[in-house]
Amino acid sequence: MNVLISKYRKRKILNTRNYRKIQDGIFVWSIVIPAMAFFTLFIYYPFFKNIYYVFMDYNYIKEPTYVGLRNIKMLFADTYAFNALKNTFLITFVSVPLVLGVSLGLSILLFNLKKFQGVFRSAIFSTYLVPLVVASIIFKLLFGTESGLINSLLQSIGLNKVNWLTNPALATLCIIIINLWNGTGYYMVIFLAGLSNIDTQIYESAKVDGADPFRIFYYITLPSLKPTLIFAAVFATITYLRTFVTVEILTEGGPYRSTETIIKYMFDQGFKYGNVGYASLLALVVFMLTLIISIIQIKLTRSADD
Amino acid sequence: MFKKNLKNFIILIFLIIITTIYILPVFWMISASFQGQGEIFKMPFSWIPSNPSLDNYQYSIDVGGLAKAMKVSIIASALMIGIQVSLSTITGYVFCKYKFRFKNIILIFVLMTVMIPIEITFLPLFDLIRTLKLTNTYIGLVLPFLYSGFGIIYIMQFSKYIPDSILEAARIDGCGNIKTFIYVALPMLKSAISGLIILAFTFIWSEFAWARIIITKDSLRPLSIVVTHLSKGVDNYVNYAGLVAAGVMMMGPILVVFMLFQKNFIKSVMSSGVKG
Repeated sequence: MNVLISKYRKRKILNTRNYRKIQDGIFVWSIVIPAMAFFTLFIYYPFFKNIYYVFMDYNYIKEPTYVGLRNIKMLFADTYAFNALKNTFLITFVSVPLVLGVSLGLSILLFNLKKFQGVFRSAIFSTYLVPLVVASIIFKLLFGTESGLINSLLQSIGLNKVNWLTNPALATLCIIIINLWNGTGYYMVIFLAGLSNIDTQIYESAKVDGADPFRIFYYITLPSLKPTLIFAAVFATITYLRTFVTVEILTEGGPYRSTETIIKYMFDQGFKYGNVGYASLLALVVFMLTLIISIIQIKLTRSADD
Repeated sequence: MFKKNLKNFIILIFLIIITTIYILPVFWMISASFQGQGEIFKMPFSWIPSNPSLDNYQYSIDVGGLAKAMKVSIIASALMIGIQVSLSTITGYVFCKYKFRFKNIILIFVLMTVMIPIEITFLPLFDLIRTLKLTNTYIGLVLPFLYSGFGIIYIMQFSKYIPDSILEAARIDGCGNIKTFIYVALPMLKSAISGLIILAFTFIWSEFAWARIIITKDSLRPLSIVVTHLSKGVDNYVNYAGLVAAGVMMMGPILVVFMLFQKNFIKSVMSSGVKG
């Protein structure tokens, strides 16, 4: 009798287990397969299509025709492409330390504030939520030569007008100022999150030992924030390497192509001039740049974990 | 003690100055949107409009087509957020809580999509969307954003905190996979999901590059395109005051939502940056 029951039970348990396994399998794959299909179709397929286009002459109208290495040869002779890369690097490598430095400074000041922390944080963070399109328009109206707020302020105190957006160096500066204004709120909040993760006991013991604020910053705050700083630096670098909207609205790449960025040049080549093959090559250049930055991030994070 | 108070006071003053500089452009825009073309660049600027009028808003709606664009942006955002957040949530949950074959390889496949800048897929995607006859449609406008590799990772991180024992208990009580997800997991992922909604909203509301490629019909242009168009001028003439009003209309909804859900906004951005 006993043996019979246990046999019956065993079979029932086995059956429900099998049943559950099948049920789980159907559930998992009905979720995972659509996700894989999406990424294949909308990320990987276009990515590899880019590589295919590099060897083609294509303008969205005619069928693509094979041209071998022509696009690649063109890139090495194209001073505009190098100019666009140079502008992009200039914007990126000035913006990143500037934005991160200001955000870090503000976050440390705010973090030590006893009262009103929330008010300042929300006020500065709200500038990050202004859509980039609108931010660019605000600054276009601030820096306009004839109709611009800053020039009318300068004139009202008896100074001369400045050609903010028609002078190459100043136009680049304006783009960087937008990055600073629009980005500070985001990185400040990220740094505040990093700061609140630091064990307060370390600070207490450092203060008891008589360390001054600069030593505390250099020997405790900075090393503890390292993972957050690496993330922020890489994220900012990748964001500013893809500068497009600000340039499109503020200067359209001018004056004299001094603010033309690589993404702007890529879109123009592809959609304006119908050089899709060449634009695809530029797309791969952008990809390589972000890949290098991502690899550096992984390396740095690993060494920070050790 | 006095020295410490003085130091705190100086820091406070410094922060007030910096914060004012940061928010002044937004205030200028809001104030200027109620003033005439001649007044918006006038010095000294009257921060409180002397004769406030809604003419600029009238202009941006009549000439700029802002109301129509607002409708397009709202529909596109709702569509994109609804689909992206649901799909990313359930996919992230499955990756975290289920064991299945090739899981690690598939996970790498998903993770790697985050490393590809979205703009570089646009050139070939335009071809694909054209072949599918989806240019100038809402679906075409949001199609590349229906899943988010970042969103999946984000939800995976939060799903770790759902105890396996609770899920198991639900299963033993006879809940299926879908029921367990909806009634047990979803309520525990609420704050992560609201974070994802906020991040998706800030992205799609100002998305510009893809919309400009895929939409050529006037009636389907979202705010980002219409506002940019206004900034380039209509018939070679830029109505600056009208442009200011258009800008306020575009940033308005996002700032209003922020004021209502400040804590959630800041928390979701905080958790987007810190790993773990």
